[in-house]
Amino acid sequence: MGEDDLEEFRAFVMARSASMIRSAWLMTGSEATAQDLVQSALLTTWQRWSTLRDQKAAEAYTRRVVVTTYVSWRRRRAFHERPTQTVPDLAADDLVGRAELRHDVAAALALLSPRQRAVIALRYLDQLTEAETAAALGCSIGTVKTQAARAIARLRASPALDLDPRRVPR
Amino acid sequence: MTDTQGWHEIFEVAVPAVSPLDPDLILAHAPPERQHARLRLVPIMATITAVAIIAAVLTVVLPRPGSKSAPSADNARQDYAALVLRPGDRVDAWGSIYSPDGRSARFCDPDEGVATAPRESLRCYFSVPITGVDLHRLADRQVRGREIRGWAHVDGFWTGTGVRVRRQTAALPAAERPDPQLPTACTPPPAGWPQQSQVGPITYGPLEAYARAHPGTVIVPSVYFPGPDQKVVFALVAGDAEPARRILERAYHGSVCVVASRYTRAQADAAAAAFFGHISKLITGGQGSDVSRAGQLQVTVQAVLVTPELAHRAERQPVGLVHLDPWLSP
Repeated sequence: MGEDDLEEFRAFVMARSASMIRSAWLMTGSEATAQDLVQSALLTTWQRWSTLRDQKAAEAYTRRVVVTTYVSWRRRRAFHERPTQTVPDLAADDLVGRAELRHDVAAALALLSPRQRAVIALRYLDQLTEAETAAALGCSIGTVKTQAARAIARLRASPALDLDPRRVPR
Repeated sequence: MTDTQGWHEIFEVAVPAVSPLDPDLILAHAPPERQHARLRLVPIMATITAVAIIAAVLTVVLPRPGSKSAPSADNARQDYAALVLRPGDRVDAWGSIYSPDGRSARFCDPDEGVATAPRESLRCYFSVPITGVDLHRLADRQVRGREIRGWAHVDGFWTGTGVRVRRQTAALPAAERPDPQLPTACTPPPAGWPQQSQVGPITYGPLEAYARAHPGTVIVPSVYFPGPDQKVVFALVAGDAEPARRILERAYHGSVCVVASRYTRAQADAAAAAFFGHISKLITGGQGSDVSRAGQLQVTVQAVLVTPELAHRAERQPVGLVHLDPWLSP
């Protein structure tokens, strides 16, 4: 691959990796693991770069790799998730309200299956359509709907996540 | 508000802002030839010692410090052609300076470089060549091998391919994250915005109920905090805003602002696709459906600079919908 490919890939990583890490954070609950996951997926994307010529295709492919890698890490038990009692990856300057919400969201998400967490991240953080989410997960739209409904029902029932909007800080 | 939007807002707040990854760190792990063996990457957090404070998160558009073109404008017609940088134009901007070898240098868009976590290289990506810069007069100057990077405020001119420095000041960015301000279209009731402690907690419930009963009406829901104990639910609605306003003002005891949208969601999506649908070395960030200071849909495009092609692309969109926010502008 040539210098143009390198520059395009660099621009793609700079522009989109932060968004993908945030999505992976919802799946893993850990910024460090999310970064490893996205880095790993982007390496795979780079190896396919010559066939992924536009940002949408590259992003869709990378998200697919993120999800499949995340699920496979969980299967291999190489990924150790802690249903957290402490706030993960808390920045020192965080507002208290934001930190509490982050803690509670992480605790509530720990109750979900890997696929449900992936659906939540793609549908509700990244705001992908059901079709795009299905493509990223490699499943049918019906499965996305079912998984999303079950995940949301579990989150609503989670004692960790009080959904009073007053708790959503600005 | 739909269920999706409500959850999106919760997750958007809960998930921390992060820095983009270093592309060269990824490329350093790529095998020279394609192979099927699975690679084990070194967890990159092991190399990261600082917490990124400000991240290039595309979903949040913040005004750039020193930006001549604030992102949350009022949907007034923007003169895109006047933003095009042409040879001889004066450039007055701050950013980081990167030199790979202590001689040549690039001027880096601050959107990329503010307080990002340390990387293997000091290199930046969204940048233009710069000449006449003193590499010894940089704020927060870092040296790694032959590489140098630091911050400067630069007064110079655009040569057509880069910046030629006339004056330079070592200056650190004064990045501030302002609170979103209530759109100017939202006027408070005569007695001011109600206090939550007096009217009770303000929730999304009534807006959700309205959106469910009137599908497709609520284009953008949001919430603002104009003062202590004050919370105002904002709804940008399609068509006539009066029916929604009547119902929601009753439900919210006045703590609501309903604005009729000038643009459709489809128009905003099409405009966003025109700018964000392709890989670009000029576009550094943006927001597909921002709410402007006027309380209208706005597609904000942050770019290194505006080319005639970029300006033309903006001109093809509905008037006032696209806001170009270049780092370098005349």
